[in-house]
Amino acid sequence: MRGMPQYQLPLPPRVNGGDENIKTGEITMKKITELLGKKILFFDGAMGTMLQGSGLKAGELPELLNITSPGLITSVHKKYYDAGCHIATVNTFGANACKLRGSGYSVEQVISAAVECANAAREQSEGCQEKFIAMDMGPVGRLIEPMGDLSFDEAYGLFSEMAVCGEKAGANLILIETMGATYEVKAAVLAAKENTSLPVFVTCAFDASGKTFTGADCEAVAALLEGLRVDAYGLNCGLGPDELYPVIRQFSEISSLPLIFNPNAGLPRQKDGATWFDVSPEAFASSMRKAADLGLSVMGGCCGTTPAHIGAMINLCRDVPARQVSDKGITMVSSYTHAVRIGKEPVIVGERINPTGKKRFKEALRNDDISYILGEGISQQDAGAHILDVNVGIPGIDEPSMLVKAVTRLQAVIDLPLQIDTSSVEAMEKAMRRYNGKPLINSVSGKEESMRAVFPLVQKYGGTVVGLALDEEGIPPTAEGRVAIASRIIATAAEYGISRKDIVIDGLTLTVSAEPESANVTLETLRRVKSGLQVCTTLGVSNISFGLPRREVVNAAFYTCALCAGLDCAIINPKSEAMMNSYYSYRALCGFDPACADYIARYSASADAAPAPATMSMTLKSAIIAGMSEAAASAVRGRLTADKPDDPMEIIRNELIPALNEVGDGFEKGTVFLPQLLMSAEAAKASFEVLKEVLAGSGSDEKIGRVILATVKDDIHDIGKNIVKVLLENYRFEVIDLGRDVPAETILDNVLKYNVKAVGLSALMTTTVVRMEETIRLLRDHVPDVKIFVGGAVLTEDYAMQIGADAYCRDAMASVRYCQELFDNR
Amino acid sequence: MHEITPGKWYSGVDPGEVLRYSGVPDANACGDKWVEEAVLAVNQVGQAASPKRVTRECAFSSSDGLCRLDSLTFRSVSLAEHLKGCDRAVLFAATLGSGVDTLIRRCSAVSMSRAVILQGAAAALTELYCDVQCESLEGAYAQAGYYLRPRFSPGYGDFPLECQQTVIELLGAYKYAGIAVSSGGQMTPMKSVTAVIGLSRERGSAEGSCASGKCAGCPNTSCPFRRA
Repeated sequence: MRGMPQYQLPLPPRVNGGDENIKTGEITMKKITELLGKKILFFDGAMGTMLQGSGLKAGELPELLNITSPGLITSVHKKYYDAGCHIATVNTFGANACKLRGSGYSVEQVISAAVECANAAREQSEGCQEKFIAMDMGPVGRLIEPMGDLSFDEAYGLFSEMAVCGEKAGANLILIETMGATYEVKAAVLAAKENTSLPVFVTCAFDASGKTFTGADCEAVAALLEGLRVDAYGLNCGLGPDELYPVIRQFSEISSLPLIFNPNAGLPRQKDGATWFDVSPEAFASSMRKAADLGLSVMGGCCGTTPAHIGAMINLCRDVPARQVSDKGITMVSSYTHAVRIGKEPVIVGERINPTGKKRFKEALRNDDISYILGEGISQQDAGAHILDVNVGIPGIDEPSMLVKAVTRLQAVIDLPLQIDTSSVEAMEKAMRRYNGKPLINSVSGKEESMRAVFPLVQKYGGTVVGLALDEEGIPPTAEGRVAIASRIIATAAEYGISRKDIVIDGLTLTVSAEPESANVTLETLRRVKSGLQVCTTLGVSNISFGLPRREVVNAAFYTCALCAGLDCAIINPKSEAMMNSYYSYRALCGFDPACADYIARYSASADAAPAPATMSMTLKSAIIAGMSEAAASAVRGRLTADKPDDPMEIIRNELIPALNEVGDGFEKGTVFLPQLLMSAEAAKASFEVLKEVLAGSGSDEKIGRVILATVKDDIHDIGKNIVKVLLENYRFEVIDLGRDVPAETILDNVLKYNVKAVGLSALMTTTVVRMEETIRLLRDHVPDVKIFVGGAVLTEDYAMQIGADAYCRDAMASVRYCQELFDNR
Repeated sequence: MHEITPGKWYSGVDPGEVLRYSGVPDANACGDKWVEEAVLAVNQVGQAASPKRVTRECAFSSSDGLCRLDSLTFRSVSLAEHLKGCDRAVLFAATLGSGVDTLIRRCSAVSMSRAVILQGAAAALTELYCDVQCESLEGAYAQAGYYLRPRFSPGYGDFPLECQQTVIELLGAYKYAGIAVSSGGQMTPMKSVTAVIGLSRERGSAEGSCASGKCAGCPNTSCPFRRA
């Protein structure tokens, strides 16, 4: 390779007395997990760098060389074994069915050839260290939904096939590496653990800011992987050992599992069209020596490292004593970006995504109205929640599907960890499987049946679980009784390998108006659990005040008492000013808010704030035209609560619709622009929400007609479709939004299911207009009467007609006008 | 009145440009309120972004519209024309990162009017980031006696969109920047760019440099976002 500095191989590795040269899969498999933490194990270095040095062209699939040039691959492995490494990583980084499509070789062929090459090298190398073979699984190369278009199950399938082939071919462990997306990591780990019995090592790629490319920080990765109970984890690729030192140090401070560190040989540089890396073997070795002192268990190299780098590193690091890996005892849950630690500062779990006692929420669940749930989630995050409770259990719905949908859709827009709250074990398992991170699980109780059902799920998918202090006998009336159940929960969890850091005890809040001693018992339970059992605590705080007037007064006082008694996670409404007052005051008073900075930031502004603008005086029409949602809603409220309230239908006819028409006309004339049009639409929507409460059940809130909207298969750009949706809803159409990347068959099924007369399709690019044409053809074949209107960046009137659409809508208002005409005519 | 956070890589973005991408052709026509919204959107997108770029220099040649770019061979008269006089080229990929997609998705769930402006801000920041990167490449290549041509992306003219996947693979853009291509040929994260930048020993024509050429060199004259 041009520009690549040449380095001498180091001296042959020293023979470790007494260590046998293990070659059979079964013995080695046991041995590598036994060796972890007892001495530092060494991975090899880069395969790609070595192959490029031997003439591999850019863009060629390096994995095919396992079959076409096995001698070359074997020689690379042998050089690394000769340099003293324990683990050869086979040449299967991209050997998944997706990347090998069209190559002429199957996944099994490529992987079995790869393992054979490593086996041959193991036979040939004379180094006396233990030698293992790692089946390598790199990223698929496509992002999983919602960031990309690959489904979680597809990714799982691709990794399962690889893992099974690797084990069958004789690999001793599975290395999942260079991962940037935590969701993909989870799919790969589950694939490896569910389909093989091999140990699983995982390394993720981090940048200098200490994050993966999907934004996960060290704690998020650690929480996820420790929850999934991999055998060792850490980081690889990205940058050189010095740049990544702060990241691996952070891992060493939080990790309770053996750590792996496989950095690049510095940063890639280019010279005369060739890539080379700027850290020499000696410098690499010296940087790795420093990192070894952090107590690492496994060390090696990634891009740019050669046998010279690995040999030099081994020479410097092999005598560094391994450090026993210890449980750091940190209670944390995570999302796909960050973790929330429990037990340090008070944590707020937002309680609002729960249908109990909420008519509007139940209605949303029955109508499959996920946007309502997303709105509740976003507003609680904005109000200061750290974790969101998600409960969608009402009679008559398919709770497992709804819970999975709610969890995945919430995770598409909110980066807070979630508390999966359900009494259905099936719903719990499905949601845990698809959750991207380590969730809080609500809940297990002291009942044998509950523990037998829930603990295996926590053991498999990872999670911190809420333990309710009740059992077959009910809720004990005393703190002693509740603490005894909590102890039993902790002891039983340990039998499943779940340590006390992953248990959060709920001492149970009972209604004080019914049980005068209930608050005292709960607070005493908190104190005893916290000090005696040394586990974290949680409570559903608002239960205390059922049946009392001005509930928030009692709730806030009880919340403060509970915080003082040792409450870690409060399940509360973060949108309640009274509760947040308790929270901020407690933090300021108890040393969690240095210099009272957060308290001052929150409350000084409200004292100094200018009086709110006199929005009440605006007319509804002018508020909608100005796009002021609050003013529009309060104008409607004023009209409905006046001494002589207006008829809601009159308000719609005489003010709402004319205001919308005025803005719509302005948009068509070019005097009102898209963001203004949408802001007016949002103001109108806010007014409709107020009117809806009055109209509900009166039959007056009928829609003009039902329309399906979808972005076609293979198209993941949906902003245009979402704009059309907002406007159509505003003009009183019922919109069934099928989302993006929707197969033609799904659209047809929904047209039939909902007996829809109009379908709006959107596509961004010429490649996806092909899918639009296919969809139109399918609809024409089965439902010839349905009207199809289309839009999207590359479409024109002619193009739309050419692919068989009924109408081309150049913008959102054109879609509204088309539908109005269509339904008026009918 | 808010201002774009000073000292950031996106400090120089023009709020008028953000509004133009949001469907407001003339920022003056809609008043300060919208400029304020644009400024807020720029700061939000800027904070959510984790921009990255990957480049790789390679040989380029063409004859009769058949282009050879590293190991990639394809027919494109427009690229051949655009890179006339270049014997080398830089493959380029850049992204604002998936955090920006999540921000826009989040906002779409509660307010499409704000989502449209965030989308406009993200488009403007993507352009700006690419320009800043190209300026730095210009400086580096000037020392070697090369001039950079404006970025030319798969999908422009007759440069096949399918080449996007190969460009991403040649660059290792997934591994180093998290840029992937979906099964429908669309890039994720959505605010991502791939391009070819010609390297020539002679200064380019009136179409301008890599960082500032933009619309003038683009053959799509009916584009609604084309600058005058």
